[in-house]
Amino acid sequence: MTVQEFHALEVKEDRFWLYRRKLGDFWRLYRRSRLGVIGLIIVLSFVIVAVAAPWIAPFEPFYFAGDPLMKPSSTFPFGTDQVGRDIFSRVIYGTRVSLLIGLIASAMTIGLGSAIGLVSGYLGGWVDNGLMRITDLFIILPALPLMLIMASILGKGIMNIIIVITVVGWTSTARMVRSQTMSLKERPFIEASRAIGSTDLHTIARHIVPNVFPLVFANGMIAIVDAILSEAGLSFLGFGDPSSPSWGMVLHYADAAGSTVNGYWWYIVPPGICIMLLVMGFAFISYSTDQILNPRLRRR
Amino acid sequence: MMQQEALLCVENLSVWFPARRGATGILTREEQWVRAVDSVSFSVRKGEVMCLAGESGSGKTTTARAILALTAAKFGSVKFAGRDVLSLSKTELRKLRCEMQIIFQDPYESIDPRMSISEILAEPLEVNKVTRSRKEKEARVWNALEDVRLLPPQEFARRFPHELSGGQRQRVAIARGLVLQPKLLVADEPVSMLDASIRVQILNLLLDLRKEYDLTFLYITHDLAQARYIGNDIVIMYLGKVMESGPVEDVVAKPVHPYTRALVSNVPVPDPTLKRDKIAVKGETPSALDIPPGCRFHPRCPYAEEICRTKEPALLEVGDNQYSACHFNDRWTA
Amino acid sequence: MHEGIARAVENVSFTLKKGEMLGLAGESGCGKTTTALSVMRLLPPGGKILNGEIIVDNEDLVKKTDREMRDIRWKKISMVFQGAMNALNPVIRVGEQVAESIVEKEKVSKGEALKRARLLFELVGLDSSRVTNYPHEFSGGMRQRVMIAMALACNPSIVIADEPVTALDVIVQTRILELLKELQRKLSLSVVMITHDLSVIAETCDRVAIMYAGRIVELGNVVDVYKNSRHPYTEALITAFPSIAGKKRRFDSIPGDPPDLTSPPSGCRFHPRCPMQQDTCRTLDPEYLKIGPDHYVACHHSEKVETT
Repeated sequence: MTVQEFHALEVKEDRFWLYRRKLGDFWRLYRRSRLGVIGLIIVLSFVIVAVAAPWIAPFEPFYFAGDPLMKPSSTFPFGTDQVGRDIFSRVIYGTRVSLLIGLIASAMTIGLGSAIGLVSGYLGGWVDNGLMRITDLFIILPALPLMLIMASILGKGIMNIIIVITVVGWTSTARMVRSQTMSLKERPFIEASRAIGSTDLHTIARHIVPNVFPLVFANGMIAIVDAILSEAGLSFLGFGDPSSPSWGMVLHYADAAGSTVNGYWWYIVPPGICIMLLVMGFAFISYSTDQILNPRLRRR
Repeated sequence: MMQQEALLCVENLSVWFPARRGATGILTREEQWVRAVDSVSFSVRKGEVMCLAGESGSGKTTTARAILALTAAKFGSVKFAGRDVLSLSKTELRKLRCEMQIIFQDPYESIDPRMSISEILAEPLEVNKVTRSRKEKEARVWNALEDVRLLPPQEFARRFPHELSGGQRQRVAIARGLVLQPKLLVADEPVSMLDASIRVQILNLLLDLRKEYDLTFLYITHDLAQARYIGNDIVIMYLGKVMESGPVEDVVAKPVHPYTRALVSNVPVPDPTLKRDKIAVKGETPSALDIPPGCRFHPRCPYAEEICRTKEPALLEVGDNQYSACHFNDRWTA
Repeated sequence: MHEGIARAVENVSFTLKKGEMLGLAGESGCGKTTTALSVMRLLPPGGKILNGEIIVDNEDLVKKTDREMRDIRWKKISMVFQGAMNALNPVIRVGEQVAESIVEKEKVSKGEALKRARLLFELVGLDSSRVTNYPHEFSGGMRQRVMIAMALACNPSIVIADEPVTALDVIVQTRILELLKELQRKLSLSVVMITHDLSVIAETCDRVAIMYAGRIVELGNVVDVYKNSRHPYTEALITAFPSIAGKKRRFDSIPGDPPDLTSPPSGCRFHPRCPMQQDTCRTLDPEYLKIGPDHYVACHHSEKVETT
C-alpha cells in the first residue's frame, strides 16, 4: 500500500497549487516569502516609473537641457551626458524600453519554445525528431555572435532586438517543456483523456498545458531576466535603437563618452544599478513562485 | 443452454513492441521484438464479467489497452458488437469509444488533479458532443454521481480530487466510465490501490452497476481472490499467452495448467487454521525480451519435459468450457 | 486543505516475545508504519513521540539520545522499509551496499564487511557470487532478499518488516515469507510484520495486532483474533476479505472511509462505521481490556460480536 499514513497531510498540501481558482490562497502563501514580496515591490516600482515617466521625469529624454557631462546636482540628479541631456530623465524613460523589451521578448521566447516543446513532446516520432534536430541547431549556434550578426543584418529597432532575443532564447524552454510533456504523457489521466475520445488537441489544451503551466511560469521569470540582460548587452554593444534609449543604450553612450576612463561615474552607475535591481526583482519573484508551485522545495 | 452472443471477441491478438537494439543490432539490422501479448484469443458474452488474470509481465494490461485501441496491436482482430475495432479510422474509433470505457488502477493519477469533479465527468460528454444543453450535461453528471453513491451529487460535483479519499476518487473514475453509457467497461486493477475495507465496497458497486445497466466487464487483476469474487469467466495469462481459461469457479477449484495450479495454491488465505500445501515454483517471470522457447512456462515448471522446451502447447478443451495450454493436460484432469 | 496535528498513534501497547512473529495489521493511515518508525526513532521531521515507553532489553528507547539510538539501530533492531527494494542505489554493487551498513556500524574494514555480505547472501538464499551484481540485474524477489540481508547485517534480535511482500507476485511472495520464517527459526529472530494484507498475516504470524485510526483495537493469538474476533472492525475486515477458499458469496463491506487523523471521531474512533454503535461509543473511548489469556480488545461491546 502507498505510504499515505503520513504523507496524507503532505499530499493535501502538495496539491494546493492545483486550486487554480484560489488566487487568494496563492497570495497568502506568496506573502510569507520575504524575498518574494521584496521582488514584487521592486518590479512594481519600476513598472510605476515606466508608466508615469512623462510625469516623473523632469526633462524630455532628447532635450538638450544643460551643459555636457555635468556632475550630479539638484537640477540634474544623475548629471548630464555628452550632449547635455539629463541622465536622470533618460534613465526614467529607459525603464519603459528595458521593461517592454524584457516582457515582450520573454513572452515570445516562452510562447515559441512552449509551442514547439508541446508538439514535439506529445506527438513524438519523426515530428519530435525533426523539431529536436532544429532545436539542436539553434543550441549549437553561439548566442552572442549570433545575436550580433542578426542585429547587424536586421538593423536597429526595438522589434529587431526582440526578434533576436527570441530566436536565440527559445531553445531552453522548448527542451524543458518537451521533457515535461513527455513525462506527463505517461500519466494515467492523459491516457484517460484519450480513452474518453478526446482529440490530441483537446488533450494537449485541456490536460497537458495546465499541468505544464507552473513550470513554464517559473521559467518565464528567468526568461524575463535573460531578455533584460540580453537587451542591455546588445544595446551596450551598439545594436540598440537610438530613438528609444534603454538602459543599455545609456551605458553605450556612457562608454562612447569614455566614462570609464574619465571617471564619469554618475553616467555609468545609475543605469547599471537599475538593470541589476530589476533583474533581482524578477529573480526574487521567480524564486518564491517556484517555491510555491514546486511543493517539495517549500518544506526545506 | 442458450449461447449468448459475444459482445467482445478477441482473436489471435498480438502486441509487439520494437526492442531497442544494442550497437551490434544496428549493424546487423536485426529486428528484436518484445512480444508483450502473443496470439491471445477469448470472447466475452454480453452482461458477463470476464477476468484477465496474471502476474506482472503477463501482458494482461497491454491486452486490455490493445482491445481499446489505446495501444497499437501488431496482429489479430478485436470484434466489438460485430465491428472490427482495429481496422477503424481515427474518427470512427473516437465514436466507438463512447461504447467502451476504462477505469484505471490509480485513483490518484487517473483523474486530472486540476479539474473539478463536475468538469471531469462533463468532459466525456463535451468531447463527444453528446449533450445539447448545459442542463442536460449537469443532469447526466449528477446521475453518474448518484450511480456511484457519491451523495449528494451537487456537493461532490463542486469538489476537487484532492478533497476526496482514495475510494471516493475511484468512484469518480467509475462515474466517468459510466457517463457515456457504454456497453463495455474495462477495469484495470480498480481496487489494488485501495484499502481492504474499501475494496469490497467498490467491487459490490461494480456488481450492482452491472445489473442495473446490463454492463459487460473486462476485469483485469493479479488477485485471484478478487477475480473469484467478481468474475464469471477467467483467462489466466503468463508472459503474453493464455495458459488457462474457463468459468472462474472451475478454474480456481479445479485448475488444470501447472501455472494456474501453482498460482492458486500460493494465494494466501485469511484463515490461520487452514493448512495448505503450496506448490513451489522456482525463479521469477522472465522479461518479455527473453521469452523461453516452446512452452513459456517451462523453465519454472516443476513438471517440464523435453517437449515443453521445444513445442508450444495449444489451448485445448479440458472441461466444460475450460481450456488449458499444457502438453500434459490429461495428467491434471482427474 | 487541513493543517494541524495528526494523532497518528495513540495509546498503542504491545509486547513482542522472543522468536515470535507479530503481525501489525491495518489499513493505510492506521498508524502501523508510524509505530514502527517510532520504535526505530526514525520519525520524519514534525513527528514526535509525546509519551510512552519502548522497552528493549530492559532499556527505554524513548529516553535514548540520538547517539545512543545509532548504536541500537541496526544492531538490536533493524527494519526492512516499505518499497526499499526499489530504492537501492542503481550505480553501486549490491554487495557494497550491504557492506556499507556493516562498515558503518561495526567499524570493520571493507574487506571484512564484504566477506560478511557474502555470508549474508547465502543466508537469504542468494548466490554469494552475486554480491558483485548491480540492482537492475536482480528480479523483484531477489532485491527483497538483498534488503533482508541488509537488515540482518549486524545481527539484530528484532526485525521490523514493513509490507515486505506487497509488491511481489504471489508465487515469489510465498518464497519470501518462507524465508522470513526460516530466518526466524534459525536466528531466533523476533519479527514484526506490518501489512494491510490479512491473508499474509494469517499464514505467517503467531500473534497479531489490528490497528485502526492510530489505535490497537484487537490483539492476540492469530487463531483467536481471526476465528474468535471480538472487535466489530476485526470481524468485518476478516469477513469482507475476498478469498479463493470457502463458499463464493457476496458480502457486505464496511461503510464509510478511514478517518482523518487531524480530527478523529470522538469516543471510539470506529463508531461512525460500526454496525453496533451506541451512545457510549460516541462519547467514551473504549478501554483496552484483556478478555482471554492472550487476547485484548478495545470495544464497549466485545461480548456481542458474532463471528460467522
